[in-house]
Amino acid sequence: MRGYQEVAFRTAYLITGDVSAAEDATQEAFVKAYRTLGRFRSGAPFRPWLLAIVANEARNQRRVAARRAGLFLRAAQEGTSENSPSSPEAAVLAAERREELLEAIGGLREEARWAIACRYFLGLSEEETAAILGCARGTVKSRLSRALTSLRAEIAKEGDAG
Amino acid sequence: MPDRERELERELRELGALISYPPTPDAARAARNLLDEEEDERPRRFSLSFPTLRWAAVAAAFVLVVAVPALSPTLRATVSDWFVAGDTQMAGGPAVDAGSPERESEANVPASGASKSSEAVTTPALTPQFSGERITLQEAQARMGGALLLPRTPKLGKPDEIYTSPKDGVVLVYGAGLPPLGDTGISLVLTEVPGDVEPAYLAGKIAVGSKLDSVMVDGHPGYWSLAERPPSQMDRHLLGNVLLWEQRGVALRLEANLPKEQAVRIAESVR
Repeated sequence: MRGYQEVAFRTAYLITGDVSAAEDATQEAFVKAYRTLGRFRSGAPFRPWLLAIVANEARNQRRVAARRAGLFLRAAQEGTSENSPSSPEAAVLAAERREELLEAIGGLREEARWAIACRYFLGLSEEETAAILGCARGTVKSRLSRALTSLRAEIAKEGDAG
Repeated sequence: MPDRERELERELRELGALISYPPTPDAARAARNLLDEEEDERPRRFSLSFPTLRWAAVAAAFVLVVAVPALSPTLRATVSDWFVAGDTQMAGGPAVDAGSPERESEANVPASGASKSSEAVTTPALTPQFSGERITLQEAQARMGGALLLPRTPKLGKPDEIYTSPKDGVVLVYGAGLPPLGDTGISLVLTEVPGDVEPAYLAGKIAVGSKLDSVMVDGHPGYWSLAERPPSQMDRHLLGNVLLWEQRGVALRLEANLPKEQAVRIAESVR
């Protein structure tokens, strides 16, 4: 399990937006995965199966904590604020663009936000994203395509408003 | 794929790469430890199916054979541990270590012949002693699988102290709010033990203290045992009246210096 714990924890962190909730969710998911190993289909890739359990546990944790959906945005904002380019001008531009992107993502529907977070923030495969979102691989493709289209529209909207 | 879309994807990936995640905890190890603990507990639970007969002091003072057909198998099993077994806890309980010869001899003495062990306990102090490990409310919750039961009466707040019980349960100790149990500074002791023990070993009869009445606690069958004498140094085990009942798969034991009606009211507030 050790080889999977980083991606598992990061997935849980983006879903819960809370370090200790993510830790609990990851641990509980590992315990559940161990207990239900008998149900794992032999020959199937292990990582998507595990990440689906992690995502479920993380959602449970989020429900318990009565946290609002989309906390990954806050986590992302907090996480990126300390990583700035070296030159002040570039830093300002990069920070503005990050803000713009994050704000635009925040305006998307939840399923679109999750598709983007899984694919681009966590770097998961389509299969892994499908496991976390509980949908087919083909659905991930179409959902992602729609998400990017909506994102561009959101950015354009913000640009017009600004 | 149009360039604009590729550019957007690149930006999103870069944004994702900039997220500084908290350090990854060793969840695999924590999970492994948890599973190991569960494994360790399994044989212990099984061994509870076969009572190590204790609580000889109660049986020593008053011996009475009582049929217990009304109790569910779960409560029956635990009741027998509590009445005949005795190491759960008692305010001012025996000042002997779990592994001491006295305790060993108590464990092997049938209840009806337990008067010897009563004589063996001669430590005069009434200082409350609980053989388990002191734990927090959160730890007690975890130990009871998140189903810790608490009295919801305004007279009792949160338990002042909590201990582990040797039978995978917990002992909640309340200091104030009700008449004290002797001079222990304790007013109520509530013991909770999960009830998954073998139902058949009682064989229908157990030896217990006198004045054992059947009671109903919020529709659950239970037993009420009245302390006949005021607490004394020679009778340190029977400080208060005892109410036993079962609720949500947990066998409960409430000890307090209260009349039956009041004890039942508190028991009915437990949830």
